[in-house]
Amino acid sequence: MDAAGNRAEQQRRYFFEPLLALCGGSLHGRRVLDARCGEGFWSLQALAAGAEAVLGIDEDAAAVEAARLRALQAGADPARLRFEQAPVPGAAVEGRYDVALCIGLMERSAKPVELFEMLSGAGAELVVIDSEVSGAPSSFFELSLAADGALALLPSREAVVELAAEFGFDCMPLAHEMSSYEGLADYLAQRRVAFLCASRASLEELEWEQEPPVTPWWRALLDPSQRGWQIPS
Amino acid sequence: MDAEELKQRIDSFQSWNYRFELPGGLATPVASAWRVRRAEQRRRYFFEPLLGLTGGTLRGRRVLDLGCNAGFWSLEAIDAGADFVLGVDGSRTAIEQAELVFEARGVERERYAFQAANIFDRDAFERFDVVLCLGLLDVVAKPLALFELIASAQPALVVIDTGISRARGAMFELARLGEPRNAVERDLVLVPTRRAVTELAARFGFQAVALAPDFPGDELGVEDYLASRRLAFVCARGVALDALAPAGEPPRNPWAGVLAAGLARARRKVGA
Repeated sequence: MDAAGNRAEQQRRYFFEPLLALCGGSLHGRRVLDARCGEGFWSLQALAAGAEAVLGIDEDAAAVEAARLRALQAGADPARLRFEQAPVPGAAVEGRYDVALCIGLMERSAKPVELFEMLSGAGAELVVIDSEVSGAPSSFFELSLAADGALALLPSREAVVELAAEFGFDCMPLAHEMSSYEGLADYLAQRRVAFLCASRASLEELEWEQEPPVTPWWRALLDPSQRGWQIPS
Repeated sequence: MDAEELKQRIDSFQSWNYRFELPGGLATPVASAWRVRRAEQRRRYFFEPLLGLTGGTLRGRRVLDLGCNAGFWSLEAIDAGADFVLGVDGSRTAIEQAELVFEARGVERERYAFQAANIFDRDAFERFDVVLCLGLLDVVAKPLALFELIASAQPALVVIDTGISRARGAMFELARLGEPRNAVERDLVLVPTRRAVTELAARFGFQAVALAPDFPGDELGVEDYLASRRLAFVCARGVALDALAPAGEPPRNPWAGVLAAGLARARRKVGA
């Protein structure tokens, strides 16, 4: 399996299977909002897992076109799977979606609060957030430039958990033990992590991520730029 | 409106954040001399430098005052000659106070408008030459949306006065307001670091200068500025900011910072 294939498979085991487990093994009867669908990989996964309806949105028109093509090729039922080009957050989502996927979204968005407003407005009860995270200590968003020059507010782990709590979600960063880290260097270095957020379901069965080591306080005192998680760049 | 009626209308409000001198020897009551002194200090700190950049007057300019409260800075802008001021605030009470003050002061009706509204409910503003964003950035959780709104007015000058996080780098610190009533929308807020403000401003094409918090001989009312917990920024597009005194970068080593603050305090004590 190549690196990209391994990444997708490991991600599926890492955050998608725990999501299914929380939903009772399948997404039957669930309506899924894929808030950054890209070329539709996770939307199709959700459909295959039995979701009643899936709406994938993305700002990138080319990605949405590719996703539509992919759905056509996969023979997906157009009544159950739709893709729309719209800004996230900002898109007006009609109807209720009880499951939301935010895969690779937060690290490209500078509007974290608006994102949660949109998700809770859509009625989400379970949210998967997979994002690059900032190594800042405690609850911070780091202003950063995304690869394409777009502005982003990169959240620290605590910031995601606290923001989710503000909107009534229990939220935890998931522990990962991938069988192979090929193509997953960002997870290995703990620069990226997946969170599960639930407003009703219990997350007790899940395992918390082992937090990366923190700079000892006396070293942080001498050199404040070293404060926070020790994350290899 | 006669003096008796004015007095009644002033007293009908539970509290005032700013002291306004009104006709008939009346003034709005504020809780402490500290607040009065604070407003004076802040005028010297960021409002006078703003006027310095516009040639001493706001004549011919339209001013947008975001988070205007009772219209104190809107009135300063009018007194400085501004053609027109639009003040927006989430608090209906604050807007009623502003309307009362402007009416009592006899400001021409066509020179101002106040709106009680959540600014995030709108997509854009019409054109303004100067935007005042005083005490707003650190009590909202949508810094990017706020900058988008400011930029939509296409101003040449923006003054941002805000509480700042003392963390390093370009960060926003997730915090909670002690007094939720201040929040435009919720009590969860994102407090910027100094670099976050200048970098975000730069993204929107503004050059931003953090004003040096120089309050010679008097700390009353500006304790938060002196403790590096608050700063004012002047942001400009197409206006040279060379005349402004920028605040020094905070020292890299925290002990140097403690030492410098102690020395500055001692110097102020000696100077006073």
